[in-house]
Amino acid sequence: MKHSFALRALALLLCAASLLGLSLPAQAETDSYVESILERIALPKVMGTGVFEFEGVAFRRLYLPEYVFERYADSSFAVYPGETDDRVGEIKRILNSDKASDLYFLENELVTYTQIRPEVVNFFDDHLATLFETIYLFFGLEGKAPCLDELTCYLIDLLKNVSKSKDNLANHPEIIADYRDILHDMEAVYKYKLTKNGTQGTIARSGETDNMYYFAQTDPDWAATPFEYEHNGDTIKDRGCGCACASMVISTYHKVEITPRWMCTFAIQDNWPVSYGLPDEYFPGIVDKYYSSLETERYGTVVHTPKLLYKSELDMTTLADQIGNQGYLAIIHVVRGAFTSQEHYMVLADYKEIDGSGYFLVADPYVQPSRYSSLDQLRDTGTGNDGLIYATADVLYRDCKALLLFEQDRNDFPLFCRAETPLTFAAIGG
Amino acid sequence: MEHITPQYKRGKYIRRRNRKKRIVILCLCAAVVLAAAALLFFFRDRLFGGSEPAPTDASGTPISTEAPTEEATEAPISGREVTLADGKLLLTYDSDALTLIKDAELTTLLGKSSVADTPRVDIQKLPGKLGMLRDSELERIAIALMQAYYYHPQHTADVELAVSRNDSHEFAGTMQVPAIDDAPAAVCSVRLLAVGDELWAAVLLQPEGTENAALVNAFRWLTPTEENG
Repeated sequence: MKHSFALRALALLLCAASLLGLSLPAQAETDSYVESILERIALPKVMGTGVFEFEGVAFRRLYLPEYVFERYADSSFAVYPGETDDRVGEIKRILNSDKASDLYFLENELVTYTQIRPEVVNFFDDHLATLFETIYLFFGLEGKAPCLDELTCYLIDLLKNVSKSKDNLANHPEIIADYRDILHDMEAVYKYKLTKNGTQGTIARSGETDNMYYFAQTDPDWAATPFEYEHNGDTIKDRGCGCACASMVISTYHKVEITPRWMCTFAIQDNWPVSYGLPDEYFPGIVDKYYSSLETERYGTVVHTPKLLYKSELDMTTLADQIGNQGYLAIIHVVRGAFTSQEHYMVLADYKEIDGSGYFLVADPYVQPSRYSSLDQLRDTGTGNDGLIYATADVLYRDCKALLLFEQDRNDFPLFCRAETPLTFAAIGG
Repeated sequence: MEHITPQYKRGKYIRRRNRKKRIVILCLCAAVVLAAAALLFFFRDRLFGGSEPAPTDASGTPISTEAPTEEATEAPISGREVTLADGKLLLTYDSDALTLIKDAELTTLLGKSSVADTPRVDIQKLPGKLGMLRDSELERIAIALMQAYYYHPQHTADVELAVSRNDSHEFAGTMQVPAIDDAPAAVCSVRLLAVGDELWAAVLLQPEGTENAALVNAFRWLTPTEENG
């Protein structure tokens, strides 16, 4: 009896399974038949506006038919900021332009070098979240919480197909012309958001945002890169503090990651190295020759020639105001003292009052806190980044030989719209 | 106490085994029958040319499902005639009042005095066949035709489509679209027409306060010129 019941149950199960197996493909076929019709519907778009305002600037939207959004209303997966997932890595690699294969987004920096280092490539970092929010904004999906789901993957796939890439250039040059400006607008809004919410900059190997562009000369990615003076066998780690400082400052003003490798290359190319590393004149020299207008076309940013001030010309109170309140940056040239036993360059990135005392935020490109002295004048930042340290004006003035002052606000961002018309993705399909 | 012989036991065993076999066979037969029924259910429209529920007008009152009458096929308006769909679709419009614009996707009628792109009638060919689409699919297409005019369309679930005709020749309906962002409220009427073996769509979009009788007439008298099967 028991056996018979089991047989009947088995038969019923078979029956249900056969029904399910038959109905699923039938439903899928029905959906694809209707979708093939929906995809061919012309999109006159004469009602409403394809323009949206962001920070007082009118931008043009990217447009998708409503049925596409509804198709992806329910996603079979979702990865959220702070989570780690292989799919995040795949998307980051597609969005990153700084790669040897140069597949997509050759004209855009949407995911940076420090976001795709092996330690963090699968980590859903804050920058990626801001980028997704920006993409949603351009597709009219304000309010959608950033997450990697089917819709987001679909949108990125669309953008990939209209980005500048070797394949698109060869086969669809007209697509790039049409979408180039709107991709630049999206990129600019993304960078603007990072700048204004204070999260612009590099991603640490922990996955945390540095909240500034920080590059260490001791970073294993380039520490061993040769940076010689008269064939002495030195590397970036040995004498690349100036290169790393130039990277931090110029990256900050242009909103892109420019690693010390580039600074090193140009320094050698133009024969800047001296016995102790790089002279103070290297900084205005390299800015004027290579970097003043590097990203002007893309973001409207410029870097002005820094002002060289010697110790006798320095007023630390004025400097604190310029860096703390006016957004200036400075590269300080220090001699033997609290930070080094020889000569060294560091970036003064901020100034703030802590427990009633004023401190400069120092971005030291040589990560080795154990070598610091005058510890009563220094203070840990608590950021987890050992390259950052707070230092008093007194100790900095004491050790200072000269200072390169960048007299411009690091948070300036001249936002403007390039695209002239909203664009539709209807023809690309899914 | 019953005396149970080995022969009795064996016969009982065989009967039980046969019964089990019959049950299994019956279940398998049932599975095949149900599967066939499921197939028929999902492909009924493709096989039998679509279901034809009693059509209703905008107020829900049943209307005739007969083929278009002579009144419908013979335009009572004078004006320029344009044939579409290789001559199988006749568009008649008042050329004094309306401008015709044709491009690769759309044939559009606009009011001559209008500086805006609305009100308007758009006619386009769609892939597919009217008879192969279920009611819900026809509604979805009609709504998508309306949504195509908007940068920020209503979500499909929020749209109310009043079906005025639903037969083997035509599916027609109207949507009252509320004001969205800076787009005014509008009335959008859709006709999905079987023209020979082809599916054609006509849309009349009239933002509030822009009603145009010439456009309404042209939309209304857009007519397939031969009997559709």
